[in-house]
Amino acid sequence: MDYFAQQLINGIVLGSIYGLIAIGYTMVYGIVGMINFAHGDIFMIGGFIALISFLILVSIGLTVVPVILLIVLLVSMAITALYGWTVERIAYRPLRHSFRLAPMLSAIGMSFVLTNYSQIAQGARVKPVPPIITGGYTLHEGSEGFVVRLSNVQIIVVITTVVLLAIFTWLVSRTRLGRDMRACEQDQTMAALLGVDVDRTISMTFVIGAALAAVAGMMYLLYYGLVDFFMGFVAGIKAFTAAVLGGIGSLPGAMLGGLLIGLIETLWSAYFSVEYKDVAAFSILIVVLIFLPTGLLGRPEVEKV
Amino acid sequence: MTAPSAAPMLEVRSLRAAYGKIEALKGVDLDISAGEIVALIGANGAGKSTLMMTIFGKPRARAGSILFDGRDITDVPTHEIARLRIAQSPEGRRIFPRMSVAENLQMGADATDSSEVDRAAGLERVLTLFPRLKERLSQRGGTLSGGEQQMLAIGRALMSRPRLLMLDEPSLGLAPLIARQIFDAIRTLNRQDGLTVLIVEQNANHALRLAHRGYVMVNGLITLSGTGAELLQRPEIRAAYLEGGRRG
Repeated sequence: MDYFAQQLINGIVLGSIYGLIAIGYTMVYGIVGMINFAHGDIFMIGGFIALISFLILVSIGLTVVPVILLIVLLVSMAITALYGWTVERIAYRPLRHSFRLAPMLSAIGMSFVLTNYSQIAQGARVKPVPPIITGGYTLHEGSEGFVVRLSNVQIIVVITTVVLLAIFTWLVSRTRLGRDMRACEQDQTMAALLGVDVDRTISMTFVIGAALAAVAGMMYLLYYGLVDFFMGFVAGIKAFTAAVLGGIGSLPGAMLGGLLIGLIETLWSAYFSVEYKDVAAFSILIVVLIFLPTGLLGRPEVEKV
Repeated sequence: MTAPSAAPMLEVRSLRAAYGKIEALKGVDLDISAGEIVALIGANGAGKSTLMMTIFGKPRARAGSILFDGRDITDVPTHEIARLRIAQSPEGRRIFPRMSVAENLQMGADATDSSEVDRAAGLERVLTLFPRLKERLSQRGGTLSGGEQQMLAIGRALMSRPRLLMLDEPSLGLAPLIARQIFDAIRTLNRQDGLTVLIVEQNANHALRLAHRGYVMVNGLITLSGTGAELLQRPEIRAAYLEGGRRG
């Protein structure tokens, strides 16, 4: 039981990171109907920027951890958002009215560009950082000496995710920008007829998705204590799987899918075999899609109009 | 009845537009003066809806020009045209199915950056015209009946406090009683607020009775124009759009 509780905690933390990335996939799919294959690499870029800004802050002698974390968070969100904006502007927008596969191919290309750019700029080696946040709480000490621990990093990852999701949900459901985004998602022509600048709204969608991916990148750095230029690939595919599992286009679905993929992976690794954790995650995806083709919280394509 | 003004509010000159290789507008000329109700009638596929959409730049005109208040808006981006307070209730209504009725109406008000006071007044006005929407405010647009969706599409257009309102088949698929309510509402808006209206209708009889002037469109061209009463008297109009349907 203790062992299970510990795995549950680990799974939720991993799932939060996947969920934050998955939101970017699902938002972009909802509004422009394409899978942004470069999104995983945007997450990787976010991790690197978090690392770089952390090192800069430490080297100028800043030592107050909460201040460092807050600055790193804001800086990586801002710069990664700029990357997201640029990718959309140069690789997707010119192809918006081209054939359907064109932006997707362009996205795969962008993914290679970002991966190789990081490899050249930052080197191919894994970049470790010393633990920034240490300590934690012992929740329960089992009779056989197994200890259920909740580390401070885990608490920070989960709290940051929850807070950002709350802000994000408010933004989408209550603000003018959110309304414009939903309008573009449902009918771009009509949105334009109502004065919505569709190009700008799409840009903002990429910006927000990239900012959330940057948070995920920073959380990954804090949690695993390392980044590398290739980390966007697997994490990106997992998060994409999470978005599909939850129902692509659905925001709560992306978060739910992220949590489920995180939990499946962790529990499978804990009870069966680490080597087959990805197989488990993808198998569950397949089973869900057989019975619920639109994912767990996806909506059927046909609406009553 | 027609307000005398120096230049028309909307001038469409030799307008051409196409979907791919299919030419839908082949050189259309049309004027609307401030305070007028203008009806555009014609058979299915004549290009009526295309004309309305082309005024908004969807699709872009291939040739010709569109002037609003004397300003050339032929190449102005669609979302900026909406800000000039031109509103459209388009073909197929195109309400946002996964937004609440209230949010759909807000989208209309957003079009012209209405102030909170204007929003409240606009909402009040729309709900007075279409009391049915009041009970449905929190419901999702996609769950409304066809008639209610039509009311919502017109209400949304009105929320932007338009100077020119374009209505594409506002009575399509509606029970006669509801269609009548909608026509009455348009007449009231025109008389009380001086709202300028361009209305596309299959129901030529209704439209021409409502309108000050009318245009007849055939195959992407305007073939006839005149006052509503004049057009109603023309034998070819009666044959083609008023009696033909009933006989057939």
